[in-house]
Amino acid sequence: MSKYNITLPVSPNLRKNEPDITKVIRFNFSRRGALIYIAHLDMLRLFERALIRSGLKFVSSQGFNPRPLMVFALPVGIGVEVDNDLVEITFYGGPDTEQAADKLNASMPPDIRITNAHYEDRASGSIMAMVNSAEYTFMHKDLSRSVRTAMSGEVLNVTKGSKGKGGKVKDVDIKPLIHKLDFPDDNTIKAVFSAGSKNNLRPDLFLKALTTDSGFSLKNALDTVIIRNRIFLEGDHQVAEK
Amino acid sequence: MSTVYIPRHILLSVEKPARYVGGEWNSVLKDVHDVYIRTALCFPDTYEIGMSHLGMKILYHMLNERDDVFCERAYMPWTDMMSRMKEDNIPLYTLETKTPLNEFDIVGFTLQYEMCYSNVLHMLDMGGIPVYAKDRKQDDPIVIAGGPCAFNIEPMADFFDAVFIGESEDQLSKFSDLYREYILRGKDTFDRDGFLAEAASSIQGIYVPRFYEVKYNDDETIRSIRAYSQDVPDVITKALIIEPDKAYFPVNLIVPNTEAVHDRVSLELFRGCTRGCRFCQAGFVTRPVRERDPGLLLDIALKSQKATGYEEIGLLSLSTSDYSGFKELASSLIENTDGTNTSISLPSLRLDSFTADILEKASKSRKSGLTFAPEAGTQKLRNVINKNISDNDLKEAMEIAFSGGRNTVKLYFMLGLPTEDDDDIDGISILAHDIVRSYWQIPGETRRRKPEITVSAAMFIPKPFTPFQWESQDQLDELYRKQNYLRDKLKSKYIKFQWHGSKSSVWEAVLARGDRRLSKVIYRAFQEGCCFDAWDDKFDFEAYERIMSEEGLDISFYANRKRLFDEVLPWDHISCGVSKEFLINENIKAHSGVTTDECRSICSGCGAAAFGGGVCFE
Repeated sequence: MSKYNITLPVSPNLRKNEPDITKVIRFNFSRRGALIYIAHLDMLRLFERALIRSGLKFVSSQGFNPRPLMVFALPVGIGVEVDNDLVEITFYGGPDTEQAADKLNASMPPDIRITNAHYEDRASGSIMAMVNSAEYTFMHKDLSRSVRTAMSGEVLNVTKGSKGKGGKVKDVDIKPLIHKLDFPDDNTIKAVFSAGSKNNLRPDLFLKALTTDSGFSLKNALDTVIIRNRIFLEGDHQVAEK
Repeated sequence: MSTVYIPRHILLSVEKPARYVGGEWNSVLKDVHDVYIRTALCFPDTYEIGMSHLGMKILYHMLNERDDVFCERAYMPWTDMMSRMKEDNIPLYTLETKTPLNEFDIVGFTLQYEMCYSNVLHMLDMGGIPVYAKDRKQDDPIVIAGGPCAFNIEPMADFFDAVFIGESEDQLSKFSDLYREYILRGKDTFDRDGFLAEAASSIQGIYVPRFYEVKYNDDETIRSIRAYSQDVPDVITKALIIEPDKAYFPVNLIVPNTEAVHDRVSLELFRGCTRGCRFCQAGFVTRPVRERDPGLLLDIALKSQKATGYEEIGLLSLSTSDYSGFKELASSLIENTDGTNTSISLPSLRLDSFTADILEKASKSRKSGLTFAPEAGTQKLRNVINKNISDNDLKEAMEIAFSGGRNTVKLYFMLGLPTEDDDDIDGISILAHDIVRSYWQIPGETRRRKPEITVSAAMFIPKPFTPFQWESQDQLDELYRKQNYLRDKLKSKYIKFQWHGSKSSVWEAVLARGDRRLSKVIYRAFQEGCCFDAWDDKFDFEAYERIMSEEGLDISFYANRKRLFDEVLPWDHISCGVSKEFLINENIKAHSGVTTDECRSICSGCGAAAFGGGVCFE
């Protein structure tokens, strides 16, 4: 027998009271500081928890393991700073976009900031499928020379795959995936790479390519600051000539 | 004052660098110039394990509520990070301000299991703190320890300035108050020993090992343990929070940036346990049972869930079903999270029809497997260990589980319990096969999959402050024989057998009941690079065996020797509130197969009533 004879409060069932209308908001966000060292799965968890903390009424998937309907345009790797990435989240009703951004910001560690929010009302399709390229900034004192050397060749090969058991190793020419290269100063390069589900050049793979031929050490590659400045979606811009 | 800089190329060449950078939600940052005391709480295992531990979070947030303290955290870096840090002379630092450990005023370790001891020494050394307490100077941090292992800290006695026995909330507050008084008198004239002596004499449960002298007999057993001075207590009695509803409990819990082992809101239902299983140290050292009000718990749970964004609330205690507000709390938690993605996890549950229904509603995802801990295979042996669960209880629980559509069951047993013979091991096998058979007896339409029964066998480890503290552990070859015997008996293809490292169980047994002479063994193991002993693939038993014999010590003296009741035990100057007479009586009852009722049916007079609260006065 229980020694407690009390009635505990009960909150209303949240889902039953939700309006049926759902809306998608696209958020632009940045990430810096300590949080550049977290992996993509950790980013997903961090955004999910921030969403719950924000109190915003988000829509979840159905099934055994419901998750918020939340799609990142392009996963971001460990060590990459972000100026302006994109994530789309589906909400019940139509929360004010500015308020939604404020609430999310108040629920996020300071190293991640929502910088913009707007309704996205295209008929269908995932934002992931719309990504075609991304702009990156790389910073290291020995970088420009190595990149110039590397780009002077016919091809720029990089070894892909793991050398472990059963791993297939092959050389891939990444040159066709590099659409634009600028050298604003000796320590900085700006580049536009193919991105998305069809062709994707990861920034760390580009740096790895430099270590094979162009005398850029692995330590230099790991020490190179990588910033993803923006993601281009189909129709956003014309891919520049090489 | 210095800040450690960790180069990008190091963070990007180790596994999971998120563990080494901080920046978590609800982590605390303060201006170090605004506080009097800087405290570093250290967990001597990986970030993922340390961030799962509720106790450290309670103390972290509690200390940071004070304006005069800034409390930070440090965890043991994984081996890849550890060697990179050593190569580049990067000291072990705290995650909040990246300050080396030796710049703190107080450095505290939580000792949850014996196998973390070598890690503690690595952390001190990497943090620039002299490993031996006697080598620390005026401006070195005060190094303290708490947690379950504090009850017999003797093997680690040489490394800590002060040890906190029992529940640390009040102790740590008072310790910080006293420290502040001392440094306000002038940091340059800070009297280390004077401070420690006053702490030990004025705060309950604070033990300063170097104030006590241990003398040995010719046969290596202990002759006496005495305080050098009359100012400190002869017997150190644990501290505890007698009214847990009034204790500090954080709501804005820190949330890790990479997945922890237990990544959820942990809701502590009560402290202590009424059951009195004779092998279980936690069940005795946490007495008496003190419950928290279900209304308060519900409030804490919902607020923490909102403040953290966790989608799981886990009930935490030594025996969830024994919580007298369980029905109210479980039902209201379920109602309050209905329609959300939040699930409730209910470990340590006794299964009956009510709890089965609760389990059904609590979990939002696929039906998970159930775990039971009969601990022993026969009623006879279960009576010896006072695990009051009958074959019938188990049978009923299985029927409920199987007819509810579950097909996976995990059963925990111990091998090597006192009085165990091969019939008892046969009993494990019979029980497991009976469970498989009972699965095929439920209606066919309920059985959509094949049964999966896992039998998991751990080795019995005699622990201080239990009725089995005098018992011997089986020799290693006997443990192997029993494992093989059981494996050969488990013939069904639906039964999977798992066992835990026997060698690590032997070393854990040595440390658990060890004395001060083991300090030099742990020190040498640390020097030779032993670390992460709790990880089976890192643990090097042969190294410990060799160092023991080189130091003239004998593993079997500690692990396999049956003690007499009148032997002075290394922890006899510590009290958890349960009397030695009670433990002796329980040991005698165990050997005659007589059980002891749990606290709520009848008081057995263990001694914990002296604390003046909890279940003893319900």
